[in-house]
Formats: sequence, C-alpha cells, structure tokens
Amino acid sequence: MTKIDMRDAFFERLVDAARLDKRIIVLSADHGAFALKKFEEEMPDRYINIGIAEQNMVGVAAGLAASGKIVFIYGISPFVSLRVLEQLTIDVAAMQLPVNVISVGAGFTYSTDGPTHQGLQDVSAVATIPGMTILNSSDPTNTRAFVEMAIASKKPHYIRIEKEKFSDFPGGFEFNDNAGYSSFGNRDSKLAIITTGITGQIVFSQLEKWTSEFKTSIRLIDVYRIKPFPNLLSELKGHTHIVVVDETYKSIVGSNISSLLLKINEQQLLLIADTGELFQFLGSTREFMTDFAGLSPVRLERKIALFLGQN
Amino acid sequence: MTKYSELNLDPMELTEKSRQIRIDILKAIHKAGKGHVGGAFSIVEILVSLYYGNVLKFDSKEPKWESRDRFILSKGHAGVALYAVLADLDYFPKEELDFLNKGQLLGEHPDPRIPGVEIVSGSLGHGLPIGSGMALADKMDKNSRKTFVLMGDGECYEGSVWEAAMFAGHHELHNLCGIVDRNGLITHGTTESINRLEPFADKWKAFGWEVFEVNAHDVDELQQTWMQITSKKSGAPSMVIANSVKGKGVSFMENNFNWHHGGIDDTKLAAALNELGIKVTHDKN
Repeated sequence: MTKIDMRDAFFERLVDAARLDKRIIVLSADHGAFALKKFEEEMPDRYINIGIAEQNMVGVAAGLAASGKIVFIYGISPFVSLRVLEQLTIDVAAMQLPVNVISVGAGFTYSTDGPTHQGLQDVSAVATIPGMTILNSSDPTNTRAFVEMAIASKKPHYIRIEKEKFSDFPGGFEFNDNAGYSSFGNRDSKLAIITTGITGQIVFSQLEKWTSEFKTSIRLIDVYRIKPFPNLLSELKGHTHIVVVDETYKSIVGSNISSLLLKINEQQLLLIADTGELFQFLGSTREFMTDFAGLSPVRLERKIALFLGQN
Repeated sequence: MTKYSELNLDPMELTEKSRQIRIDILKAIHKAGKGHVGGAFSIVEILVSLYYGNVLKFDSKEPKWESRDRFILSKGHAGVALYAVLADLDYFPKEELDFLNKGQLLGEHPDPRIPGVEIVSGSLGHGLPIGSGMALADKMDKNSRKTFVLMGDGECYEGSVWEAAMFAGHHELHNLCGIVDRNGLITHGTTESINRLEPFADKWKAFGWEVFEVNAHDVDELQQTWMQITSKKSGAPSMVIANSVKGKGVSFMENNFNWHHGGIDDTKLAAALNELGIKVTHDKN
C-alpha cells in the first residue's frame, strides 16, 4: 500500500479547500513543508510567514478569525502549544474563533533535537483548554478529513500531524468522522490496544505477530480525536486486558480510558505505556528514542506479554 | 441608539463628559467594593475623545455592525472605564454599572459577551497581536475600518507586544493605531525605577511606527492627533504615547500607585466626588 507523508496529505487537501474558500489563510512560524510550498506559490496573498514569533502568530490569527477568516497556523509542536498556551486559551478558545493549529513534530519526531523540540507535553497541555478540539493524525484518510472537519466546525482545533509516511489502515478499519476513533479486530477478544497518532501504525504493524505470540485475538482502537474524547464506553466492555500506547508524556488518552473503565466497573486490567519521566537529551533516530521510552515493538511486546501473565 | 455620526462634542463638552464618566466609574467601583480606579481614570479622556469626538465609527444599537472601527482595551483591568462609556452610549442599560462584579453582565475584565467589547482581555500583551490581525484582515480585504488598541505602559514589558510591534511595522498596517497609557506607574512603583521603558518613543520608531506623543488629558491635543491618524491611507502604523496621570481627576489618587487597585469607602467616595463637583452629604440617621 502506498505510503504518504502526513504533511502532504494534510496540506494537499488544505490547498484544495483554499482554492474554493477565499476565507482560508495560513500563517507559519517560519516552518515549511513541501505541500505547503504549493499553497504559498498558488495563494501568496493568503500565506504569511510570520517569523519566529508564535505568540504573535496566535494573536494575529485570532484577529484575522474575528474578521471573518478561517485561519490555520503552523509550527513545531512545543512552540505552538506550550509556548502559546495562554494565547490559545484567551485569544482563540475563550472566543471560540476558527483558528486551527497545525502542530508538526508529535512525540519523538524531532528525535535528534532534544526536549526543546519533542512533542511530548503538547496534548496534555492543550487538553486543559476548554473548547479546544484535539485531533491526532494516524493515517492519510483521517489526516485529510481533519481539514474538512476544522473548516466546517468554525471552532478552534489543535491538529497534530506526523512527518512520517503512513499508509491507510486496511479495509477492516471503520472510519467515521464523528466517532473520533477507528477500530479493527474482534470485539470479543480478551486484549484491546488503544493507540493514538503514530502508535496506531506501530501497533498495527505488529498485530499479526502479536496475535500469534500472545495466542489471543487483539482489538485495536485508534483514537484520532483526543478531545472531546470519543464515547468508548460500550467498545471497552468485555475486554479483560486493555493497553494504551501513546508517544506522549502523561497520556491524556490513558487518563480518559482509565476514567471510562472506572465507569464500566468490571474486572478489567489497564496498562498505560507512555513516555517516561525524564527529559530525553539523547539524540538519535525516532526508533531509538521510542525504544528508549519503552514504546518500540520489541519493548511493547515484552510489556504486553508480562501484562498478560506470559513471562 | 447612538450612531457615531451623531456625536461630535466640542472640547468643552468632551471635558465635561470626562468628568461625568469619572463619576460613573467611582460609583461603580464603590458599589463593587473594589476596582482598578487609578488606571481607569488615566484613560478617560482617551476613551471620551475616541467615542464622543467623531473618531470611532460605531453603532451602539448594532454593536457587531460590519463597518465599525475596532477598539480593543488591551489593559483590561481598566474595563470599568470602558463600561462607563459604553453604558453612557446605550450599548447596555446604565444600571449594569451598579452590578459590576456581582455575577451580572460586567466583570472586572472585559469579554465579548458585553455589547461593544471586541475581545477578552485581562492578561496583558494580547491586544496588539489581535489588533494587528484585525488590521491585516482589513488591509487584505481593502476595508477602510481602523483598529485602535489601548495598552498600559507596564503592559509593554510583555514580549508579545514587541512581537506584534515588529509585525505591524513590517506589514505597514497604517490602519492600526496603538495607544499607550503612559502613566509611569505599575502596581508596585514607577516604570523607570523597576524596569526602564525609556527611550520609549524611540523604541516604537525603531520598530517602524509613526509615534505621536500627547497629553492624555488634553482633549484638544487628542482630537488633533486622531485626525492625523485616521486620515492615513498607507504607511506605518501609528503609536500614540499618551502621557497621563494615574488616578487623574482626584487629587489623593493622582500619581499614587497605591490606587492601582483597591476599595473606595463612603468617606473616600464623598471626597472624590466632591473634587469632581458633586457635594455628598451623609445622612447620619
């Protein structure tokens, strides 16, 4: 199956939308992408490189949006989340303006750049903002759909897009714009794995192997809308072992799942695999970093085996 | 209903209106128990000249009128001054001032639920970036609207102010007018002793702004400045450094940073009103 850079999937769709809707403006904090270049070349009057000034970028976006524009602002994850948390809260969310953050660099994407560039806290931080929808790309289909979802809603969005090349989840996945998640596999299986972002692709690539290793069928639920969190209550019922895999620090998906399990009140076991407590100054490949954080296929396989009591 | 075109007070009338607005502010803060009186009093003539001197285009019956000019009170803690003006212009009933900070329409800091208020403010350093976005949208769409952003001088310690200053200067947002209430005081002392702002005008000039230095309480001077600024069709954004007196109008509040925020009891209210030309007698019974 063809693999596509998630930035291309997103920006190509955004270019299509902007050709038809003159209200769409893109602001970038001096950050580029191949497909975004197309936007800049074709619609130079609606693309502004605002410079390395993210707080101003959010404020300017709010002013544009308050004047009838639909604004997409683009930058590296920590700089368009942590650095601008107050601007996103007050200028955008409190006034429910159509400003959409395109955040690139989820998790260990910028694996050699250290904690300054890692996207580990963004979701937890942005999730504290009332009225902010959070979307997390995990395949080309949902990444493209985010463009239309954001434009149609006219509300604020924080959209995480990957730099990696992904292929679509195969036909078994049920994708529904409104649900906020896709699922694959047997509802009656003992083990359910909840993923978000790149971890959906990592886990999916291992499903066949793990089904054989763990001698159980596996249900995979990929959450692409982290906030508002999808209604997974009925989906979680019946699974005795639930694993959350999330390449963030203090997984918001994990805390939402644990709240739902408390509501279900069955004898279900939960394992949350997210990144560790320490700042990761090591510079290496993303694979090395995810392995170090315990989220590589090998490390996850060991964790899940132990969790299932299969030493 | 008040339309901008119906209001064109002369300087004497603007001065009298400013006196009335100060009285409304005092009474509102007295009823609320406490408030930011010092920074509200320092901007009264600025607001009055903008709203009553045929500068801002607005329609109080239709606060979201498409062609209105935008006024952003970035120093949101002076919200009570804006509320007094908006109430006087019939944006909402004047009685609302009696319920400041009592769970009704008006809170300490403005928000767009309030007719006539454009943005949420309170945290400093937000108004100029947002105003720059509004001015940019108007420039893109070739609208003739103007955007005014009123900031405090202490607010200019915020880095986001200078990010926006650089942006607006670079994009030559001629339709953007910043105003700094240069009263020289922040909550705990003077700007120059705590973290020097001067040479303040030179800083704005260096960022590409056309700078006007005015007496913030001289309505004549203010009116002349607004006229120059609103006639601009291109070029640099405008920055009005409005040299003001915190607590202006009441002698014991003037230039006293202790009046940045606080309560006004009956005795102080009477003394303040007395200075504003209203004799208050207390009923001892």
